[in-house]
Amino acid sequence: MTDRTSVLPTANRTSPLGGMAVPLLLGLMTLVGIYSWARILGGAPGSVSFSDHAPWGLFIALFLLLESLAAGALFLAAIPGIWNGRRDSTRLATLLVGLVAGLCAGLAILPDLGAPLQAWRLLFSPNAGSPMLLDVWLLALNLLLGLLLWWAIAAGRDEVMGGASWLQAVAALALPVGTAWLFSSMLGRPGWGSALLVPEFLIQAAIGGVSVAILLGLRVRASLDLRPLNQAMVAALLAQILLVVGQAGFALYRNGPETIPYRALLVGSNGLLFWAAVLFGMALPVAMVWTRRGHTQAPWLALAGVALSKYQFMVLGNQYPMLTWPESTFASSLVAGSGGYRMLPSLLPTWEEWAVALGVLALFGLLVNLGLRRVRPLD
Amino acid sequence: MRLSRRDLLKGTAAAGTLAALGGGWRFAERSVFAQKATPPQKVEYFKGYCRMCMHDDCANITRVEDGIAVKVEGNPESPINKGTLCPRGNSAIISMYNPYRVKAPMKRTNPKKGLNEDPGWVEISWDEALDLVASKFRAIREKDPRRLMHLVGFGMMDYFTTFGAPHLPVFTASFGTPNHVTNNGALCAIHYATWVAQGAFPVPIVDYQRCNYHLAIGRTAGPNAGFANGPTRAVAKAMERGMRLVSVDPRCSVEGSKGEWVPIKPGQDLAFILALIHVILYEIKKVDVEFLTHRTNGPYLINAAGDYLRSSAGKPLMWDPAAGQAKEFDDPSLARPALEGEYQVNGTTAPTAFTLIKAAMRSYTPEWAEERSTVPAATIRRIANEFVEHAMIGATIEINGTTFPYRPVAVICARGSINHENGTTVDLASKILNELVGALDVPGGVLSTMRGPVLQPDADGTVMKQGEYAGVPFSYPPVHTDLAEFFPGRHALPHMAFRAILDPAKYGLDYPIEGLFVCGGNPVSSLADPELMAEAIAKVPFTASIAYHFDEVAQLSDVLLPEHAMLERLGTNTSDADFAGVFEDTIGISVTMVRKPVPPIYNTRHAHNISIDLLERIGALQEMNGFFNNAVVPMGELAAVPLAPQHKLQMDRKYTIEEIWDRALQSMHGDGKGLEYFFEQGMVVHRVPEEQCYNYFYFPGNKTRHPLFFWGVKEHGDILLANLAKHNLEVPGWSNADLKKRYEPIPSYYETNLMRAPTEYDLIAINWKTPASMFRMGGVDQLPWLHQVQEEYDPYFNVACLNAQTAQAKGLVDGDRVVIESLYGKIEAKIRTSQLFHPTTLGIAGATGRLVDSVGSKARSLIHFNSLISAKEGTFDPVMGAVDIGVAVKIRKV
Amino acid sequence: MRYGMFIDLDRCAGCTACIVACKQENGTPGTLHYSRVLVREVGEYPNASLAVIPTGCMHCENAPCVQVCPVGASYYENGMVLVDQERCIGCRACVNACPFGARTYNHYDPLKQLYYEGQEPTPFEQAKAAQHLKGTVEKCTFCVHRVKEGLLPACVLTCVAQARVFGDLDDPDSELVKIIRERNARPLNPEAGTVPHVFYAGSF
Repeated sequence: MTDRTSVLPTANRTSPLGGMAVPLLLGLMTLVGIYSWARILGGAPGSVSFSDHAPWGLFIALFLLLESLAAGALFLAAIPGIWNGRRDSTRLATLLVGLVAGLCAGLAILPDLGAPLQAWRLLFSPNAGSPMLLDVWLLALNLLLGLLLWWAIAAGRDEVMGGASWLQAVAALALPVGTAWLFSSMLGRPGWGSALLVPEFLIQAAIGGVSVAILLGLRVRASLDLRPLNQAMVAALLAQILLVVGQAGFALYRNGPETIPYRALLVGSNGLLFWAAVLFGMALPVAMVWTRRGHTQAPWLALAGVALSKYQFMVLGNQYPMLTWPESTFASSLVAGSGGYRMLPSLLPTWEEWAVALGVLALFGLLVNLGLRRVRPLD
Repeated sequence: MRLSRRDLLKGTAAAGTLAALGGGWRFAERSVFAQKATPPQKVEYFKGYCRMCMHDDCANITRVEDGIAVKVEGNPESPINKGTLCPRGNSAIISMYNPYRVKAPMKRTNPKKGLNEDPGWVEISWDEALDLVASKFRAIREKDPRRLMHLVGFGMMDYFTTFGAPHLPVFTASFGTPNHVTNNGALCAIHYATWVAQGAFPVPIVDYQRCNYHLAIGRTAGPNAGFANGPTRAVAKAMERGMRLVSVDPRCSVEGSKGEWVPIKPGQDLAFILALIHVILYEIKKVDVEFLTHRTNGPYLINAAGDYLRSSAGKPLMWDPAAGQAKEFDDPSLARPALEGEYQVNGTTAPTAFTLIKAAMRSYTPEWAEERSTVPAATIRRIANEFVEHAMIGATIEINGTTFPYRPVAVICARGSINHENGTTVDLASKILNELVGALDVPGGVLSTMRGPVLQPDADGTVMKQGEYAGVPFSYPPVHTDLAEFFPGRHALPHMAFRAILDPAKYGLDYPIEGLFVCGGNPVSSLADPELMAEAIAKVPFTASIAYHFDEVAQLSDVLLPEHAMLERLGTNTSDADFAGVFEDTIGISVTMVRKPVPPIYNTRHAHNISIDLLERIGALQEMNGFFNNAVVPMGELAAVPLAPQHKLQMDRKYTIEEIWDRALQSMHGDGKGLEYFFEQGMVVHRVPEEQCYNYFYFPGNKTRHPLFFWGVKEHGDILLANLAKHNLEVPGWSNADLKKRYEPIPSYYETNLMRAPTEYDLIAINWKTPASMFRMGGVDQLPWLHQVQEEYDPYFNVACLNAQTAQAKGLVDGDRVVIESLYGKIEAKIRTSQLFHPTTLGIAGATGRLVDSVGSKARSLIHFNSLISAKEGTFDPVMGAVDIGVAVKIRKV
Repeated sequence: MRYGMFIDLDRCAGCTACIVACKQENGTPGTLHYSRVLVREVGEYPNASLAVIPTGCMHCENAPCVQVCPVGASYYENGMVLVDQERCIGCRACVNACPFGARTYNHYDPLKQLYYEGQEPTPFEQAKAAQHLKGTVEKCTFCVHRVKEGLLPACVLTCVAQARVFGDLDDPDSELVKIIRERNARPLNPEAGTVPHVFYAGSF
């Protein structure tokens, strides 16, 4: 409690959400994103980088980022003990961000689909065994529960709130787990073939949720004790660093083909980005909170670290896609096909993809911005 | 049917609810292809045969839906290709729909000609085009018919106006010009030695049915080229039953990988072969004495001048040890001539030919060869031993009541080893190697593409001089623009023809070329010295091209006469043999096929009908009709038919190609079996009994003799040199002493330009055929399907391949861009390092690359190997005219 | 009925005829291929060689692509794995899931990714375009439309080495079952547990 005031930047208290300039800018970015999506839908040549070597790219990375924010935020919002009372406005704000992130995660998937008009099939699929379907349902469930929780809080229906909170907490935990299973079931992508995806995704959701809550706590209301959240963030970041160290050691010590993708991630052409994420997205925020130097900015760095890690994660899966267990087939020609073995970029998004991704992020920001304006009076 | 997981799931109660949830949304009928596709209204099938390479053996069927060709596939009824097609054959449709085709007759408006000049094409009518061309040609004909040159090539090879008995093709014969120049051939001049030793054309082949050991020197045995017409399957089957395939090649191909790869320095095959002969003669000392004694001229006595020692009647003599005297070769009392030794005849000492050959091979030890070829001496010894062991010298086999010697081994050289400056010598040496173990034209051994009495002996008792071995009579000034008089054993001399166009006086020609009629040949892309060739074509005052696309030659022409694409083109081909080897599916086969044309999509015409129309307008119709009435109608590379009396042509009437082929087919297969019959049937198959497929059958025992001592070659040289001396001439590029060496009767090692290259040119660029980039027929080098498969799946496509260690020594890695420079030209390419190349080589695959954009920028962007090589006088093989396809190069990083 | 294929790698010449035949038969747009031939170098000079292997959909019995499809567009039929193009949403989970790289995604309109760059679509492309839905995943179908008519798949018919055999794995007397047994043919990556229906003999 002692440091509470020190973590509150005074500037934001007067006008935490700015005027209309920010929403207008975000709205414009959203429009640019929609335009770019239209280009992609229209099949403008070279508008996407999707290939059979790297089928999933930026949109899926964005989905993963937003999903970790959603899962983390919804989970935190569901735990009453953290908050300063049941109707803590930071709690509502966190819930709001979780809901919007979940919604935008779903939106991030849409431009990735070849036939987005057919997306409704996802909800009514006959193939119950598909892990992706599980993930879609989990996301939908989280959104429904989040809305229920919101209603319960807003309407003061405490009898609903208890059960909804528990359900929401479990569903939010299940979401990254389901996504981890979805990725680890991609037999053709050995880089994703690891049970460690479950802790990794959960940790990233934790970082995402806690970072969001801290940032909201800093901006929305001053009465919340942010120390436990800061401690949780440091813990999650340390856990992530441990996970990275663990995987790096595994990839460097063990020389089997199954470790090649991760090794390539560490020392390949994306290596710099990887280590930048570790250094600036994980180690630095820990140090900042530890030393209390600029630690109010630490959550931003942590979020950037999650975003970079999600991007790296896509690279990881796209590297050496056909690598096979006993070194039997020579899939390398696929990774490195033409006119002599050539290395294909495992991820090289087009400007349209970047614009759409930024558009989704802008929409996320816009909805949060507008939403928070509504949340404040509740306080 | 086994239940799938899905079926099982459906059955469970748990899944039942899920299915119910999704059930209402399910499509009643699942479809693999989108429902939008509507079934075609009309489906037609066109039986035909393929022409996407020069083999043209593969029967195909084209499926046309609502007027659009949608599928070409092999005709399963064909015993030759059995429904299979290679990647090129599978691309015929996309060749027909090639947007770079010439779609209507065109006239040039820009008088300036050059590869970088826009011709300013203007579309004209067929009548205008034909009249324009005919008036120019008629004027030439009236002045001096020799001044027209007819340039043909693989691009239009349906055996009619462009083909005929060798060197007597219909168009040129009817027009009256001697200048029939085949552009194809200079980069694949591999025929001479087979004419010499086996009396046959075009190539020696392997009896894959029985061969147990095939030494392929710079040769595609079948799989490398992915030929659909048999050899790929033949080699696969032969290897399944245990045939060993040894590939001597600077590059490890698919064949080298499946068999044994013996890496060799390019251009050094001669050293390797001579050392094999040395090991057999001096170390193994086991040869087929019976074959050498009775079926070769090895026992012939040779005089001091290197000629046959002859009787007073002019007949070659052999030594009869039983009688202790020399006897004429056909003396019935001569039961067993001496193969080896020197004998006193009429006061002179005369060794046998075999003795001379053996003595000449003494110094060619494996160690000597290793220094040159880099093939380890131990490997040479091992291969020589394996070769002799597998030959089963003395063994016989009975086929349908005929007893044959049985020699299941074959050494064959091909383009990779022969298309060099010393190619004639290489190929002749390989014949000796086969003869030492008696493996020529007998079961299991080296056969030829021709069946029948081709081994017929001449007055000297040896295989008669035919085809390119018959030579071209000398005259001066030369009659032929391609200077065949100076190169009497030539296969094709387009490189000399175009040099002579640029400077007739230099070669003693007393007339210039004033008109060029092109039909399927392109010396710019598909020969050496591209710029020089373009300059020569541009110099010709009037050029008319029968054109499929706007290639280099078309861009240099005055008038374009657009022709059908392969599928649109009526054609007939009688295929008698395979060009790589025979096996149980193809031995003895003779297949006549007709291609029922798919309706043409543009304003194009059949190349032969264009030629006939031109002959009519030129006023040479009677000559053409007379040609067919008096001679034969060409029906295939090795097949021709005289017109039956009832099908003879009226001299003054113009016949279309459809009518002429209809008559020829009926003359060949009987009345009623004309075009319509073949349109229905697609093909007629005949099979010659197996024993008649071995040419030994026609002249068994000592009834004929293969030359072992190539006296006929020497005779060619002697006549040429005598004539040169008489006119006080030298062939530009060669001293007379040089020439003499190339016509020696016994192969010997000599240095070539490749070996003499300045030391900074430290690599040797080589080139080979690949299944998707072979020849350029049907615009193979422009077809997107073939580009795609090569770009995606062939790591050696469109790159310069370099041995990994060599690359390391030069500090080069994969993807580095280099300038490759020979003495003659330079190109740029990306480096591909590989373990599959000899350290001295720089490998460039396939026939790719263009010098004009008018066939698409993609085709132009590919590497053009031929820009590196040259047919400069003095650098090619002066006997058969082969342009060296190995060239010394240096590379540097860009 | 369980359709399957046998490929003899000792026979395969790596000529790519199968790829082009497939391209022709299915009229796949642009650079899209159902069929592939992979190559690699084995060993070091001079003891080096070239290995080739044709691949495509292995029509697995336990296909990960079918399992991951969130909309049930991939399905089994007579031992074949097929894709219902009308149902596919183009999420490409199956492309990721396939350990054989057999699936291809068709992002663009077939008439916007042409064979001859910068030219008009050929009549062939126009005729075939309607079969390919933009934004869906496609793959080798064992030429099911041919098989239903009693014809061989295009790659099997065209193979110049006759290295491919097609038939019914449930028929113990079929040429396919016999040659698989005789040559001790095995699928690629059996460790992946997908139970492929394509069997290979020879060195790989």
